Amino acid sequence: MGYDLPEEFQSKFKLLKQEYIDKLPQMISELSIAINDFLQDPTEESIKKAYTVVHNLSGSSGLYGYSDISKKSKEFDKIIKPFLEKTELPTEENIILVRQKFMEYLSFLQNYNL
Amino acid sequence: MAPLELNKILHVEDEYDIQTVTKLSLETLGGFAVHTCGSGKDALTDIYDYNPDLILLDVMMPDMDGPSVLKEIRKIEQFQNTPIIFMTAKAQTNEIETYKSYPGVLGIIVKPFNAVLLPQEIKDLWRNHYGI
Repeated sequence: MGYDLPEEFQSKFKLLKQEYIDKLPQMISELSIAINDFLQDPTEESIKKAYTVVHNLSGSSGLYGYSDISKKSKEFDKIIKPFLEKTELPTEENIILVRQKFMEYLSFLQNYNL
Repeated sequence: MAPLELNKILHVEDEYDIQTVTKLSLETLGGFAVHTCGSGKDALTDIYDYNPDLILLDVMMPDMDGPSVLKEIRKIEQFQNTPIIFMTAKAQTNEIETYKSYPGVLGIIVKPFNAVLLPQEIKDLWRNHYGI
């Protein structure tokens, strides 16, 4: 942040960023539940939910300067999106691949040092 | 006829952090007034009272996506020409060109954006569009 930014902006942004850091473990937990629901029962609803949480994490993390979380989330977003758009079907083989990618993504998030 | 001066922005976005940071940025750094709606449905209700100069519209929302909200807004005579800026994480060129081609769309802001630069980005799109 530049030194000439208004104090009001700097202090509020700092507070929001801290709130985000505090709630990130909960967000990762919700993401994990949503992806597991999709992997276990890939309905239109579970796919949409999984896509939305990953998509939102990608956008919000980048906003607070966590570009590596944003980038990893965007990569996983691209893996789920074809299922949402129905250009890819949730076959057994595809689900195995998504699960593998998800485990890598989840491991990255859980070990991320904020 | 669009106003020459940009003051009131209606922001339509479902994600809490993006809502909050956008409002903070546009109000404290840009000097704009911002009204936030968490869904397209809310926007279609609040737009009458708020009467925005500009609508900042997220593309990907769960119940009604940005292009669908735009379509509904254009059905309201009063807001047929209200300028729109889409916000999207979709950085694919073809999708961006499609969004830009909608009537009254000033441009696209790609998420995640830099909160410090956002007000200027919006001012630039506004000025470029109206040639001011």
